[in-house]
Amino acid sequence: MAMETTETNQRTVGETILETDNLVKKFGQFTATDRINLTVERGEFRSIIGPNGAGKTTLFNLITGALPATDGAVYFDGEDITTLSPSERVRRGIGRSFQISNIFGGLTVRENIRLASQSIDRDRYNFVESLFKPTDRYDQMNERTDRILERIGLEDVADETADALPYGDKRRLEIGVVLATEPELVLFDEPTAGMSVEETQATIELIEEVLVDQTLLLIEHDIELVMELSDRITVLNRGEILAEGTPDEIAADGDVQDAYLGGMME
Amino acid sequence: MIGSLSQALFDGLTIGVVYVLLAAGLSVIFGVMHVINFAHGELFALGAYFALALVVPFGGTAFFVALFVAPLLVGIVGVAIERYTVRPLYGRNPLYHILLTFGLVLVINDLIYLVWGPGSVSLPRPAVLTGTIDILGINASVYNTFIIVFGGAMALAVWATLEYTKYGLIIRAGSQDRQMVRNLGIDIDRYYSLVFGMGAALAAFAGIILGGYQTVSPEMGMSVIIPAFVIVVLGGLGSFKGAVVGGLAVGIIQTLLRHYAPIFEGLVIFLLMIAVLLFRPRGLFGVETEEEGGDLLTGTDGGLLDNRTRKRLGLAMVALLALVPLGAGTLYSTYAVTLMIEIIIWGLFALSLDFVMGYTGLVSLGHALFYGLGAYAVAITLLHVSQSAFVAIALAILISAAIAWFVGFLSIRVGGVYFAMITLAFAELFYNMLYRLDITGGSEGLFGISTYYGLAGIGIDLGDIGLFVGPVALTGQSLFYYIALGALVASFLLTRRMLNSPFGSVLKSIRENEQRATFIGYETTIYKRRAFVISGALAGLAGGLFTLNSGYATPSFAYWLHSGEVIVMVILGGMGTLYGPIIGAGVFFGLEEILTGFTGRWRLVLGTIFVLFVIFLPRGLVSLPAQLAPYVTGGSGPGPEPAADESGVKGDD
Repeated sequence: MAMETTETNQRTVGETILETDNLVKKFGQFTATDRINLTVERGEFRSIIGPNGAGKTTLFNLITGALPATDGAVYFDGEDITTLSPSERVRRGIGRSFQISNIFGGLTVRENIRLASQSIDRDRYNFVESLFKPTDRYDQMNERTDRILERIGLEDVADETADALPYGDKRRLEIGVVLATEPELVLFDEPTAGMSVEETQATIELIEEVLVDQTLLLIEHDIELVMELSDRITVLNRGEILAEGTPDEIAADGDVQDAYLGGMME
Repeated sequence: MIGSLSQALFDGLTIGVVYVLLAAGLSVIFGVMHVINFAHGELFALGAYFALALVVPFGGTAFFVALFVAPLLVGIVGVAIERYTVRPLYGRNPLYHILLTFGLVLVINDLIYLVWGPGSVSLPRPAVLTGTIDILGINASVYNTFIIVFGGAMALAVWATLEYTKYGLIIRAGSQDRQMVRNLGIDIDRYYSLVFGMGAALAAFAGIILGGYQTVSPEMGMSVIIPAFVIVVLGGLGSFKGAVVGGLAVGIIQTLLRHYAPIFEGLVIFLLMIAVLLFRPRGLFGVETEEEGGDLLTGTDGGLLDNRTRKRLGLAMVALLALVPLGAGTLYSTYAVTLMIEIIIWGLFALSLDFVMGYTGLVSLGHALFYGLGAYAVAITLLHVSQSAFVAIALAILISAAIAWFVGFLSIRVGGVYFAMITLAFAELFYNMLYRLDITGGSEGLFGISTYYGLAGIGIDLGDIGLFVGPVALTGQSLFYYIALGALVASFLLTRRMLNSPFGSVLKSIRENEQRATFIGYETTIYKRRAFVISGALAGLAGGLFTLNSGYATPSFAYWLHSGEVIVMVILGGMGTLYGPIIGAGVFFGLEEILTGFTGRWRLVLGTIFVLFVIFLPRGLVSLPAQLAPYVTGGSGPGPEPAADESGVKGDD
């Protein structure tokens, strides 16, 4: 397994939660992910940055299982999850957040959360029960749903259709859905894309507030935001890791400035 | 032997060229607009009939005039269809185009019947195209040679247009990436009418030359559309090259099979289609295209009544339905009971489709497969295994469920339009098998089947029963009515119960947003497959009940028109509501009943209504109250109560 040299980590060093070992993804002749060795510690806030086409989203898709890897392996909690389906990875504790439109718009707020809540303990119910017993009779599941509704502050609008929610509440709901799957690691792909400064601020505050116990992996274009939030930053370029380190280290890195930050300034 | 082989190849090539012209338009229309045009076969037939109208008064030489004038006219019809019916649906789920063009099939087909009447006529050929010539040792008919040469030249011209003109470049680019073309500042939407018109003209052209080769009949469109789909799928949706290779291949394969292995004719091409969809869904030459978004529009949120009222209304409806047989023979003729049985059985069939289509977004274009399976399972059981109706129905449900599992296992991995196509292929495969197998009685089907209601030889035969209380007569038919009604109510309650369970809530989440459902931890394929099995079992029950009552089963039960009709019912009533499709079935048969009193061409009216529904009221009849409410109350309509929506199912049938 590849080791990243990490010198100055001011946070208490946790155990490794996610690790990729020479991960490769090819689309025909094009190599989107080129032998990536990424190690994320438990409790860390890690950002992934890089110019367009650097392979950030592809890397996310390999971690969540949305795409199969061409070569290499993904380890989560010490277990090899390379060949597991996306849904199985969710159940192991990898949550993925999408942009706000990605909720069950035609269902109620409660139903959105309840579905996520149901997903993680469905093995407790037998097949016949899960076919015929009405959802409102599963006490444990519904209690957990209520707790999450309260946590994200949507208990008053629980019975409204998700589509009818105002913008900010939809965002809360989306994060609540992720939270309800009880993830240990949450991946965010540009959660603030297209948002105003205030909206971005509110979203980040929400993420930090609600997902305080989770390890976070974030793809983000807003460099200032990344510098402010991250414990560590991984810079990708053309499918490879160009640099990795604390925000200060990355800011001082000449390669990064040349290949990425310089390019951004043009 | 060599001679006969080359003769067969020559004939196959002739048909192949016709297929190429037909499929090229279909494929390019899909490529550019993502429209699966079911009406393409009818445009093909329309071409032949327009030519007929020109050739008959003026004699054979007018054939050459017709060869250009008729496609032009059909092209204009095509442009009109695109502009007034297809265009309002862009941006919606591409499955609505399938529904729309299915409605157009009913309309155009009935118009052809209305204008030119039933029966087949031959299209007079010009004198120069008669007789035979010797080519490479084959005694070839001049007309066949003409088809190959002229049709080939036509295909070549289309290819050259696509390849070497600016117009063609834009179309090809559009079929690869529409958004990109738009970003380049080209208004691709303007090209849509033209592409549709061109495709229609090509189809008309194919119709004319085939009309001269075989005959012209109102059924000619229906008989070519399914092979045309096979070709387009084989070659790759949107690929012109694919249409050429696929068209020639299917023409030749079909002709060779007819000559050398007739038992497999009609089976092989569907097996090929299924195989291609499974292993290479984009077809041989297809390019990867973006799967179109757009939601399926359900009828939920349409009601204005609260749950309690709905429940009462449902109970009242069932009670009312239960009274129907009592008035038969006195208040109205006994035929009313027969008609109601048909509505109930089709209501059940429509409900079964709604369970997969309305709740998981899987649009099955081959649901008649399961209806047919149920019917034949009952017929074969009663003839060969046991005369007990209970045994027969149980077997019908089991077999339909098992086949649904198998079909679902293979089909559900391909999504959207491809799923629709593969289910269609399975149904057509089954339909063709029914014709060819001995146990299914071939084209005659199975008939004269009797049964009793009981087990192990002990039970009652409904035919022997007659209860008379004053003027009220309860016959065997009336008793069967109660059996059918019971089956429908039980199925409704069962499916509704399931939809309120954890299983059902996952189905609804899949319909809303499958990607999200996956990323909260659901293996969506498994849920869809289970839904498909339940749906298949219920459709089998519907088919089984029909045969139990009527005593016969024919291959037409599994015909694709049946699959289309049941979709019509679901959409008419309102998808995703369970009770909407039952209402849809009632309206469908009610309309048929009323319209047949005036005209034999009732499908024309029905098709028109359906087209209007797809365009203007896609959420179906059940959404009507909420749509009308703002106009009636003058203000904003009362919003649907959110709490009631939690169940997703509101009210009884």
